[in-house]
Amino acid sequence: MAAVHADVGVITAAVGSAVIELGGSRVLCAIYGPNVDSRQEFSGRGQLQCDVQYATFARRRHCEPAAIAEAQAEVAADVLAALTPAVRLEDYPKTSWAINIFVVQEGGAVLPAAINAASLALAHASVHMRGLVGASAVISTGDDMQVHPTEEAAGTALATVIVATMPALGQTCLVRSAGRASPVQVLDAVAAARKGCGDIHAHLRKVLLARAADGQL
Amino acid sequence: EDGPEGGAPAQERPPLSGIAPDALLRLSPGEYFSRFLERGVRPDGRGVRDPRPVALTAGSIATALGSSTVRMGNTLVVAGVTATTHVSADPPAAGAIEVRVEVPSVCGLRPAASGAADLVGPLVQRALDSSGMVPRGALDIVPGRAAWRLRVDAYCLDFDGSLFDAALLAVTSAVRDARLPPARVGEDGEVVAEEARPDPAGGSPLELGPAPLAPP
Repeated sequence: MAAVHADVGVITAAVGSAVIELGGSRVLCAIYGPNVDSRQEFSGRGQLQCDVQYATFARRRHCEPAAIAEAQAEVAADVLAALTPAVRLEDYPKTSWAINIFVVQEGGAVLPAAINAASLALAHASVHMRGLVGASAVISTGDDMQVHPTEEAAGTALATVIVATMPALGQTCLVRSAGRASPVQVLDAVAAARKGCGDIHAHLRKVLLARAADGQL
Repeated sequence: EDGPEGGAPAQERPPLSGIAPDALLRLSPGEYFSRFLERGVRPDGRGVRDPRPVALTAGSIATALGSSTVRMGNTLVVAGVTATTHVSADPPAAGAIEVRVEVPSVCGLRPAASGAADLVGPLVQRALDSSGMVPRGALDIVPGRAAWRLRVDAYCLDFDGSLFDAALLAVTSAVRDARLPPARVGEDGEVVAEEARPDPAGGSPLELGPAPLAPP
């Protein structure tokens, strides 16, 4: 699939790392851990932490710092929501893994790129997972739908649907919908996004297998 | 061989057999590096005067006016240029370039990298300002009334030393890659003070001198 570019090992100092280019968004993710936080009460389950930062030049249209901060917090919360079901946190008692994300460029939808980068980076870090997560955005313009929209296409969207799934398990981790669309249009968009997730998953899997074959995993 | 004595010459230092190299690096880094430098090599096999490979890619970030990605060994720095139009008659508008070097959470060895960035940021700013790469007037739109204020943000995404060199190269090549849109003029014939966006038609490069390669 030409729409996505993915690679691992971009940040050598990290336990695992990945870069994703999707729909004009370019996002890097680095995984650090396992971290022990002695201040926390003992927990049988590990935790994921996510931090997202945008480059000042990531958005074509400049925004107030408050708007950027809000976007960063929202992406971080959604990345955690999408990846938490996928990571076997029960294997990491009393420890946490840090998912640190840097957005170099924002295209049509940053969130799927961020989720895919986190998923690939966690796998590269050999963190125990139930399945690899693939994420995809679909925009609806009323008459038409477009998967992995670019910034230009997203400008014409009436509604945006973002879905993250674990295709290997046939399970959905995250569904986000914003804008206005008929119930049928939303369901169609979700179906298209799920297919998009499957395509992304296949590509991420290919990248990991190629690295494993090179002995670099 | 003699046992260790205070002040024994380097050649007679007893072998630390049985210590794994990475343990020695952690326990006694000075000792570890001395043993390589005495033989004129670095731990990665390079000669003392041999640089690491450098890779540079410019212009790949569509949302920035100019950009550059520099990989120097394992150090990775991404720099991007944004700009605003500065309009002022009194005092007369003058162009400027502000440089920032930051270390986001994605970068490993962040404490070390942040320490380096605190030193490197002002150094890169001074190197750029004192080099004449951006001559007085190169940023003028209407001399004395409107000028470009550029901001170059360099982010260290992977840290393995040489941050000054990598950041300076990233910043100067991002400035050279920058393409400014035509400044928007309002109904009153005056330039509008606003953020610049990448010009779909391509934009114009700055007229620049040679880039600095060394600290000021």
